[in-house]
Amino acid sequence: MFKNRFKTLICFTVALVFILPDLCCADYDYIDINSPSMRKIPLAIPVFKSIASNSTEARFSKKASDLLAETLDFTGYLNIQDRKAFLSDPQKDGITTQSINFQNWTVIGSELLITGGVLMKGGTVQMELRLFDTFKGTLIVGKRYKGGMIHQRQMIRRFCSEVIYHLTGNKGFFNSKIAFVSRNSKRKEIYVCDFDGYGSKRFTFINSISFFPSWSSDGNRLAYTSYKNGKPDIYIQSFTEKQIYQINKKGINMTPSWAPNTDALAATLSFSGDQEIYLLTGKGKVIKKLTNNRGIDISPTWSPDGKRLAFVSDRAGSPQIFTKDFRTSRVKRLTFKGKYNTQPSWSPKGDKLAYTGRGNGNLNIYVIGVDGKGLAQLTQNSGSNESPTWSPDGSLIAFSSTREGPSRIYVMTAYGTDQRRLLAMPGEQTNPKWSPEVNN
Amino acid sequence: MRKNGFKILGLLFVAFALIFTASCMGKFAYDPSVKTSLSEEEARLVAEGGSEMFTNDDIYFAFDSSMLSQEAKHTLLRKDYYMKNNMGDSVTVEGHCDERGTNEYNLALGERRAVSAQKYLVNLGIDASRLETVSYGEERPADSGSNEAAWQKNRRAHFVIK
Amino acid sequence: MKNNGKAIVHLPGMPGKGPRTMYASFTVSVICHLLFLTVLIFVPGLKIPKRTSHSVIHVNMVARPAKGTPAGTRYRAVLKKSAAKTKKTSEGVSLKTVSAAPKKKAKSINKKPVTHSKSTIEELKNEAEASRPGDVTDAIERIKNQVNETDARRRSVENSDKELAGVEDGVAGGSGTGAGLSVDILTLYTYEIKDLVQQNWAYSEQLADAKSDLQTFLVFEVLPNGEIRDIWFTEKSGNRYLDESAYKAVIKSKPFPPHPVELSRPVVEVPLRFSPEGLLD
Repeated sequence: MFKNRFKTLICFTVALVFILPDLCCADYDYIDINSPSMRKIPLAIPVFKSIASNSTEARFSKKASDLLAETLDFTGYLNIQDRKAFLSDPQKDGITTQSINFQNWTVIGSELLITGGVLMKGGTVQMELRLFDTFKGTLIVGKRYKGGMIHQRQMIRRFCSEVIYHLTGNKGFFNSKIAFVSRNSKRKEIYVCDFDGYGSKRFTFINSISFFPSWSSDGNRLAYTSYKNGKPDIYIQSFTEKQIYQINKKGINMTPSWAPNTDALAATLSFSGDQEIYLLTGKGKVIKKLTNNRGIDISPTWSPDGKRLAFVSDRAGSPQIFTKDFRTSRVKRLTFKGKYNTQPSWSPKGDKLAYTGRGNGNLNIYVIGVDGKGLAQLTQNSGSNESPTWSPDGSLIAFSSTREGPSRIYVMTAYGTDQRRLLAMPGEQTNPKWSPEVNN
Repeated sequence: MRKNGFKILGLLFVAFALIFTASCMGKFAYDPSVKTSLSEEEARLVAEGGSEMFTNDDIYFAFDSSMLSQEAKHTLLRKDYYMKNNMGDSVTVEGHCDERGTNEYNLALGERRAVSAQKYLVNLGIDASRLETVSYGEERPADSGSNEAAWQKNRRAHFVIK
Repeated sequence: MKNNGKAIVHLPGMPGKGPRTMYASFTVSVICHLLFLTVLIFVPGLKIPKRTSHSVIHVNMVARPAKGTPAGTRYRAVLKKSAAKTKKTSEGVSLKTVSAAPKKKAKSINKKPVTHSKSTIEELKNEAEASRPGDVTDAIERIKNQVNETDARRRSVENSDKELAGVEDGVAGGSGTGAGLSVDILTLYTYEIKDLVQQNWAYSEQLADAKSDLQTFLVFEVLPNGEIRDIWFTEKSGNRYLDESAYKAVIKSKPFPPHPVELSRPVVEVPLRFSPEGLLD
């Protein structure tokens, strides 16, 4: 009897051991692939076809296709493939769906393909650009642009916006700009450049210290802090109109931050004898007080829906980031790691905040979920990294860093990869602020 | 059992109350180590040093702090003495920080440093209208070095006669 | 795990309560635990290696021609040509090719494989230069770039480093206790295929516009010559981009290496679960 029972037991157990896992995992024992090898999608951009095939046109084609490759590479999630690997030449094979042998592209791993054709007539350039899904062999988007030779960059950027829109569903950042501060000796002035560092222009001519720029939602105005009158005051200045508004109350007036889609901004004023964050009109009139706490309350940043505000406060004994929910008026501490967390910047998708934290004596960029979870350090062992600011689509973060000596502006993906310098100019650059994506 | 609970609760309450009052007391209690006036010798030095000594005599702070140290308080006595003997002078108190923090926070911290010096002087009897404050954050370091000695020099309140 | 095992054992023992039954239950429990553990040692090949790196498995399967990265396709084609021309060393070349490609991932783990793979590349370079110098240098350049790219993934590789040790142990233990040799070969073969697919899996969270907790399940059949007979999804993620990216990864990886000779099966089914959760490591 003992033996019998023993046998049954063994059979039973063995059966269970073998059957149970099968029951849990349906029919197959799946092998996990839980980390893609490539986080960038392979995209082939052969040199555009020169339709009249003369040398100026060919030169223009090469330049335009390189610029397209460079611009799309900037996104950080497309891998522009080396042209040396290409098996077909659209110059000979054609640029339309019918004339492309997509196998030539899939076999070298391209998932996307952009072909272009350039025709120059007199002073005008006609460019047709097409984005293909190589695996399906279908056209995703095709556009034709006409303009002068000087409009090359504009045409390319416009098509890049189309590409990104068709791939991701958002508008990208190819029409956005970055405001930043450049220091020469003791003076700090505000400059503005394109998202890729191209075409930087000086915005302020104050010959003093001017910093902390903030973009209005329409991208038409900048608010900033300046010592124009010997102490930190806030100035609100338009790109198109001459009128400048000032907030020059007693004490400091600093860190303006434009509220999303309204003509109002939050800023720190200390006229009451204590630094508090206030809501102000676009013309600088105080609407109401947003924080109420003895001590430092600075650097407001709005959630994209305008319903919450994050800011820096020393109410916990050290500078930490707090959020205030206007619906409940509740203030919550967000950061707990480290004793120095400042410069919060709310992501355009609303789910995360980037900020500057201090650990081991160095400042670094961190990202944290709005719920306080998912803390990630994005920079390390590379000097002092400060002032994170999100691209309007939330895919990139610009910041300043002293990794190469003097402070410069850098860009990385929202995951901290692909860190690269944005621009090179004399002096020191700090305080980058990415504009919203504006249609033009 | 229940009585014990109440006892413990009561004790806890008393303990907390004691700690609370003690910590509050600290703020108002007389601290014998802080002198309220200068020695004759020092007063003479301040008078001789004049405005030059007044502006070169900064007060210093600890990292991320706007609390006045004993030494700072003593320096402020010299400021007080000078200002009471030069009633025509108005002063701007500049708050400064070292480069290690972020600009925004340092600008705020600089103001708190300037304000705590200003308040101390007002408590000593200087008319508030003679004291203005301005914060420069980390924008105007006294020493441009990147070491502890430089940082120490830069975490300061600086006095300028207008 | 342990509790489950005990529960199973105790249930039938409930009616009789004598000390004898107790004794029996205890013995059975011990035996079952042992059994369970042995099974665990056999099965690990199927479960443990969540983030296997190919280096270990590949070293064992050296006789397979390398495929893998997009550039690899052409690279291999070039090498085949050069190998054909320099016939006497052709076998050697294909062998080395294999170790060169997979070992690039091992670079971050320790330094030895790097020097090895570099020297292999050097050798290849010398051998192939005569036939098609331009292409080979390009290919090598591309491989070098890939090696650099691998750096970015260092952390995940380092993580899998530890697990790798476990896999190695598991495999050794399995064959030691006399498991069928073909089981190991099948497992290794499917894992090699999985590695190739993983190498070709490009997934951008920006394009998916979704959270990383998605997963998609697909199965495909590999014929003895390495061709794919059929692919089907057993469960889709609902995110079209993720599903498509998984499908593309399989298509880009074909043809797979032919079945090992010892493996006598008409078809090998490879079930894969794709989940991008590793993105945020």
